[in-house]
Amino acid sequence: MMLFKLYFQLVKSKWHSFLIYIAVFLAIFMLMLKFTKPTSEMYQAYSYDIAVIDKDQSEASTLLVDYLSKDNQVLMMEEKEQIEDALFLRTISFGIVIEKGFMDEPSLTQLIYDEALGAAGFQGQRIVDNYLNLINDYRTLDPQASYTELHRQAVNALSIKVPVKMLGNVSVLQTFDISSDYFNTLGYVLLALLIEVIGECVVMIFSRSVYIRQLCAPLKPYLAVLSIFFGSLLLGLVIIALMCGIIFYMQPNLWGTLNGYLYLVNALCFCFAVVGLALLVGMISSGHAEISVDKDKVKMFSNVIALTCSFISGFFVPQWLIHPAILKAASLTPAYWYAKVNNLLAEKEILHWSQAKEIFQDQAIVILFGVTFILMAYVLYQNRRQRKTI
Amino acid sequence: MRLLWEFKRQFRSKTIFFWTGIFPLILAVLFSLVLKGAYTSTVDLSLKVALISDSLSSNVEILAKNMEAVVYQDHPMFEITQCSREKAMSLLEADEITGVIDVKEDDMEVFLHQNGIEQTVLTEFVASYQRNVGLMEKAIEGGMTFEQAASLLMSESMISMLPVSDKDPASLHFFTLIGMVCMYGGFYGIRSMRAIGGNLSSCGRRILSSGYPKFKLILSNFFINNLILDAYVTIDILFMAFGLGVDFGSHLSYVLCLAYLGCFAGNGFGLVLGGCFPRMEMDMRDGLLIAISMFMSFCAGMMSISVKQIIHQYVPLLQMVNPCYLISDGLYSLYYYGVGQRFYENLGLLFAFGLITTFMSLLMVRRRQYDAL
Repeated sequence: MMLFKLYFQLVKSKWHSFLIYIAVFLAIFMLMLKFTKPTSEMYQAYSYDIAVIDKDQSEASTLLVDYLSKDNQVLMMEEKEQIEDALFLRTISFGIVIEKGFMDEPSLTQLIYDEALGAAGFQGQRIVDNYLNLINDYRTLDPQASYTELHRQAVNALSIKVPVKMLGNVSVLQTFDISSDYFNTLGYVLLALLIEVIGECVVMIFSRSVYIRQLCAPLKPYLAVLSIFFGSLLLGLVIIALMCGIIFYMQPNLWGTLNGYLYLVNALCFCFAVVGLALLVGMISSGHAEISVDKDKVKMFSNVIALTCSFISGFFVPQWLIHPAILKAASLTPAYWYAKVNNLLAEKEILHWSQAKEIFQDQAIVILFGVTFILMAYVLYQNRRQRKTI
Repeated sequence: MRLLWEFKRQFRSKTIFFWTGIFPLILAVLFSLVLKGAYTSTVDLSLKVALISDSLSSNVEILAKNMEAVVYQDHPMFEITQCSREKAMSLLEADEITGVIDVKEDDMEVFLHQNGIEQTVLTEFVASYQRNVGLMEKAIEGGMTFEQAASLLMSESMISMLPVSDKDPASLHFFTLIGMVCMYGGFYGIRSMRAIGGNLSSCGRRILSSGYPKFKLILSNFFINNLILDAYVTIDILFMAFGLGVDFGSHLSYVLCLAYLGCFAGNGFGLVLGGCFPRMEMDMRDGLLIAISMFMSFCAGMMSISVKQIIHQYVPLLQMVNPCYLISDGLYSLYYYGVGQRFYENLGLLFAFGLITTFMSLLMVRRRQYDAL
């Protein structure tokens, strides 16, 4: 109990690390949510981000920009370089340059696009072509009509949509998608935060002066490791409860769905494995004469492990984009299985526990990783204790 | 002699060596494993569409032929499957196709499973097909022959397509990484200020007792710090360029020049952090440097490249005082446009940042006195 209390006193002194990690994580997630296009149960046409340079500034070019901004976000720019930058940085789908003289010669329009953006260029071409061709067709049918009248007719014709029916619950699927991103990013936070905080606490508990007192105390080795382990697990559970509370509050659709509960179970399993890993890192790093050296080692380990696992396991980029050989290497870490379950949960709504067999198998692997790490930490502790006692 | 001593002292610090020498290399390898090519991966342009072929087979055939004729970037835009309603719906539910089109006598209906770009392309195509059919009927009713009406719709594209050069956006992650290394150079600055801080270290007390001018101390430390950091940055850049195959464009000397100026700015920033708040602990200063550097890297687009553009659009002033942005934007301008005005602007702002921070640090320690050493 004494060790348990000491552990939480040490954890309390690390409050600024918690605050920084959680604040940064939540800020990034809020930003992510702000730029996520909301969806509904109904069909919604994709709204493109289009950059426009209007060199003509005529009635025709203004009406074209009006038409484009009806269903899309139009961003007015001055130079082609700005469009190229925005395309490179993936903030627009395509750019349109309306050259001088467009009023008399509509073909003086250029569409700047990036081939790597897939169908966006094709759709951009169709959006502008449909409009300009209709203006041309109506002009052929009624040469006396004013440009505003032609624009009105073209926009009327273009507003006729085809009836669309949606299969399945679209907004629930989007909730799962957002939650998957949230839990994947949370994976990085858990790794970085828990390894650093737990690792540093372990290092301090096993610093020379405290350790000598432990050896003198009538404390069995497995009880010492268990107290630190349960302390760490409690810490992990508090963080999971806080972070899951936030996502369940922000995405109320998660309540009452099996996917929501499975996300929670998955985060708990991963937390268990990370706590085991953090104990192991703490044990490996401790034992030097200077405690600052041990602390520096923990910081290095936490950064390297958290970033490596996150990158190769697919926390930051989708797993399908990662090379299979790298994924194979990643499968030797619990992070890979955790991200895999999150991705599986984002793909479809699970209506019955029997559909979650694969998910439970992956979660069992994560738990096994945790058990292995804890056993390794215990063996290290035992060895060190025996050596010091001798 | 003092320079050599300072060089040895800084060079032997394992913590700084990790953060400025090893950590960026690990990150670069991770970026290279995961992000390189992620933005330019071949996108399968063909949209898989099912046509319900239960009835009205002639209308279905005409639509199928029209869809198969649509080509984009030398690839057919649609891959058509004709099948029964049940089969089509099961394919759609399994997300194996983008959508299902049900052709009725005088109407069409589209079934989708998700919202997105591909689904919009499909529905817009079907809508424009229907619109054209209606327009043709109207033209024939108005007295045109079938051929005249058809030629009306056979209009060519009125827009010229300009694809941008196929530069890899993943490079920006590496550019911001170099920016981050330069900012981590601040560790040297913090330690230099600690080494001459009478209230911060015993070493500082000894140095101050010697009567050696502070101005000379700071400048000599600053020179050594830059030298070591420049060496690390050079290794990082060469490793990225030749080891990982990161494309920096064809101006490697300019890249190095910009990076050295970045080190100058990063060191200056570290001196300011080390000099301000005399009672602040070293751990706190280090933490502050890492947090600020990470925030600057985030604003420069390290975690998500679009953040760079969004912040530049809404808070341009923030980017002008963000050395990490100036370094990554300078490297980007070199990579994309070559040596030009934008590169020199970034270079100038970076130099100004370094100069101002170094000058500030000198002002901070000037005439600082201690009650007792």
